[in-house]
Amino acid sequence: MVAYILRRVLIMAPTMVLISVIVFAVIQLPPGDYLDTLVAQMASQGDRVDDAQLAALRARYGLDQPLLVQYFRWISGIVLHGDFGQSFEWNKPIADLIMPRIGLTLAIASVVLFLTSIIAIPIGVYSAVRQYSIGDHLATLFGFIGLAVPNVLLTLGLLYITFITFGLEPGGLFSREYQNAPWSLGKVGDLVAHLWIPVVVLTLAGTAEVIRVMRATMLDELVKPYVETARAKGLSEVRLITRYPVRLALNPIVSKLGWMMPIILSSEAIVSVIVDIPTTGPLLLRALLAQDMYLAGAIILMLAFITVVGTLVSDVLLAVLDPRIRYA
Amino acid sequence: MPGMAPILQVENLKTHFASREGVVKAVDGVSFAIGAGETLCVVGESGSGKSITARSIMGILQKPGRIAAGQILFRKKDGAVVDLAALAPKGPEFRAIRGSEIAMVFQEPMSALSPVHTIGSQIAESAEIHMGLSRRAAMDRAAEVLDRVGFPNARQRLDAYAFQLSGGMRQRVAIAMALTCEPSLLIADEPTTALDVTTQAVILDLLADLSDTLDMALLFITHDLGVVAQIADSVVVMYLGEVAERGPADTLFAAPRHPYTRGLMRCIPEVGRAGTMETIPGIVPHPLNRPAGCPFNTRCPEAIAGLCDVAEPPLTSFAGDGAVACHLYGEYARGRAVHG
Repeated sequence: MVAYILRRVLIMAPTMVLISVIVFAVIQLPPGDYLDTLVAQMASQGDRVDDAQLAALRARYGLDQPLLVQYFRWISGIVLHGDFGQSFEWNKPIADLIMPRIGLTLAIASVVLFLTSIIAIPIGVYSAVRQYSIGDHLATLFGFIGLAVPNVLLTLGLLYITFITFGLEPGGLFSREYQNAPWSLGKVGDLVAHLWIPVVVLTLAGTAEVIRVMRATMLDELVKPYVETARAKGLSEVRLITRYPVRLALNPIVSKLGWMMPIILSSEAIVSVIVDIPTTGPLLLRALLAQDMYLAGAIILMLAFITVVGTLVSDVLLAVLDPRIRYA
Repeated sequence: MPGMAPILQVENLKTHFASREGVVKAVDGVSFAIGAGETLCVVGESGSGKSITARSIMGILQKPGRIAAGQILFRKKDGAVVDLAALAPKGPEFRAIRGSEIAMVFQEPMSALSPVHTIGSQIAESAEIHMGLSRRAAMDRAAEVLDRVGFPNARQRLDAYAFQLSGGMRQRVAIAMALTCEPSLLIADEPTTALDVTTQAVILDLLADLSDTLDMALLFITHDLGVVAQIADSVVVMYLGEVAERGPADTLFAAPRHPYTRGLMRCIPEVGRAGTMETIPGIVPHPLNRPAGCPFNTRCPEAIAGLCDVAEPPLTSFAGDGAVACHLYGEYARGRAVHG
């Protein structure tokens, strides 16, 4: 088991190196750099930047160096000093900009993952055990509506409904009176009142898939001989189903939850832009538009890191669940 | 065991599966009885309904199977006789019997065991739910029965997983699981089919020995007449969901009556017999397309045109506990004897 985890952690290292190279390549892809954006901006305001000043800026940010040198300066800063560089646009250290947002993003994603699991897994089990019952059909219908309705539409709809029925403006993280207030129960409640829309939207989007996977795997497992053996022991149906087929049907779900993380992270961006909450999504969007390349790179790198760690966690969970993996 | 009330008496059992294409009569009027400690073999080809008979008795029929008619009278350890066919299969009364007084061993020992639970916990589970033992006491019981079925180092290997064991050892685990609560009836559904020949012999010996020493009735399902000859006290030959012939093993082997039984006997390869091995011509008809009259008439070398393909033969009993469903022994044969 320890050897297995160690092996999995070791595989993470080359994966992350590869990801960093790709991230760097991607943020270099758009033509021009941040300085071009800056010049264009100033020109539109009637200002002019002279070439000497521009060259000085280029040298300061290392933009005149060859790409390979730029990459190594960038990545060694991150790995050795935890220094993601400076944001061009915000003129602040990138770490200060993204860390609180990554915290919030992770919190939302974890809650979504948790809610998806506790809603979808029991529904999937029920759907399989009572296949073609009314409950099964309803669960399928509900699931597919969640899957089919675009997140944008659902978010706008929920915003509209809360505004019309409660007169609330659920945009942002806090209401005005709590904005600068110290933490209190009321403030937490206010936070929840603001965060429920993105959480509901993202949960609904993922639930259908997990229900379908759970249902399909359960249908496979329910007819396996070991279930018959367990039934022949005289177990009650509830104990029988939860102890045997559910236990085995959890495997594909656990591996699925690992790669649901990137899906949640990328759908989170759109929803967060609409409801205006400070997660990584809106910041990334803005950084990309402004060609604030190191900021964009840092966010993508961190999201990739979270994904890789998520996969590791799901792999370790799988090994805990399934001795065949543990002893392989 | 003549004179003794049977431990299990199946009367005119009919198990049907309703499908879109029609009703499959997987078991269609089967009757037999097993005495305490007796070994009864149910023989037949694939699709003869032998496994469905076993599952009907156990109350573990898969959807859409259901018992349409008949009785399954089981004598419990406290002496009371219950009709299992009338009990709700998932109800508490049936569950108290299943796994405790009647237990079952399945064909494929690999897939019949859970791959993610230790063998100890799977065996101990029966002891926990039926004998009310604590986890620890149940594990002791598991080690005890594993030891009883000849599993080496039983106590040390309780936390092994099925995939770490050989086929023979897995089947011992499955047998131990069935024996945990000392059932008075053990149903074994082709328990040696998936094993290699030497392991087959060992497992057969083990089952025969257990049946003797524990005075446990054994309902053994197989398609292998060689196995039947080795362990059976009495035999039921099934064809297309019906009993073709039944009787004590020695008389049935010495003088098989039904043409189907005789055909099966000729299919047993024998050392020293010259020539090619015989087979029964044709294949088992599709259950939705059951022939009229005797179910075997389409493949029977002795079929009487105008009789066997019209009228279903009734079961004719013989002295010495044998019975056969064949026109060659019924009214027709008697009539011919009188007139001829």
